[in-house]
Amino acid sequence: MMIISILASIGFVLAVTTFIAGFRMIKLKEQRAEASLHRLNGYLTIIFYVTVATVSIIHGTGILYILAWLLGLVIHIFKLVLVKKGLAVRYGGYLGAMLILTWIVVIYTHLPTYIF
Amino acid sequence: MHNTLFTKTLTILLTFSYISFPILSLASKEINVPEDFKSIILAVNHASNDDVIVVAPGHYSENIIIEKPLTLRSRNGALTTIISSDDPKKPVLNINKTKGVRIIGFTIEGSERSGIYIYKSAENKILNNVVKNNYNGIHLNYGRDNIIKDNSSDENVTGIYLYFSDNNEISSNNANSNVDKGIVLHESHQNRILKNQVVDNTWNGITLTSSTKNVIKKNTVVKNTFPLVITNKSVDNIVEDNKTMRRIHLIVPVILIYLAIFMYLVERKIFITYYRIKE
Repeated sequence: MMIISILASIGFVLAVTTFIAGFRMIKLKEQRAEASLHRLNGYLTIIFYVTVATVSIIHGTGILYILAWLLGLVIHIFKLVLVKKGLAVRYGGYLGAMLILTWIVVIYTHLPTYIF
Repeated sequence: MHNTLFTKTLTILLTFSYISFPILSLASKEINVPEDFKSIILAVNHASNDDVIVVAPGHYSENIIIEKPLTLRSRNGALTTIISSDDPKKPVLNINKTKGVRIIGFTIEGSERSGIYIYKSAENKILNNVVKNNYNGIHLNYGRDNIIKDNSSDENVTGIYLYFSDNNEISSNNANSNVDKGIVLHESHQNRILKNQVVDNTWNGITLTSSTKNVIKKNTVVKNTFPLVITNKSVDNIVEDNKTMRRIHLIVPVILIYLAIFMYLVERKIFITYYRIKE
């Protein structure tokens, strides 16, 4: 469906920007800007993730797909929990990589069909 | 009285055996290659109508013409039973002006014409074959009411080609990675193209030229340059429930990553400016 492809594309772009900002946050220069960017895009990414998952499930998927969507959501929430507990610097990189992989799976399974 | 009864019984028995013997002798028989005949051609030539030719695993280099109803099947499946074209300029298997042929479970390769060629033939079944490295993998020329099912017709120039062929069923086949097109219908009508995988062909996935009233349903047609090509003269076709995607779509995620990098740089600039103004 085109709408899922568009939502997934936007979410993927946000996820990549968040990922870049997350890694650059470890540099001291302009850390506030990177942190704000990372936080804003991160929350937007979660919103888009939930939206794409909801639209996808509404249009009919099997139990395995629902479980896969749930697993991705768990990774997103786990990242937030780690940040709240102050463990982001130690474990954030690994979770960031898992999140970007999750989004790569999302974008390839909803490969944009709006280009003819 | 007893003699009359005996005579009547004997007459009935003799009449019955006189009638039944030819019928029994007409029952299809099984011919084994290479046990009964060394080559498939010899087996086909010596077979009677409706015989079953069972071919042992091996590599056979032949061009076979079939002009009578019979079943040609492998003993152990396509992976181990390979028929290569002895003369590349001829089809490997040529079903010529006949009915009721079944070709089951072969790997067919090496023809610069067709792997399986069905010419002016009807009601044949081509099942569970691997047809590769030919010009046309499976080619129907004025064929009708044939069933082409569960075959792989990959790595040919054209996977499956229907020319002036009507009312055939092409279902559950693979037509992948062909140099030109996956499935082509030219001047072919009322065919059913169902549940095929048509993937990664260089040009068109499924092509219809001057072909009408065909049903193209539930096919997966992805990673071709053009998934479905239907010319103006091809009308009244039912095309639904197919999964299509062009090859170019695969580079979209890469484009999105470049867009994300650009967006990151713009956002970063905005946030830096914002915090500087705030200070």
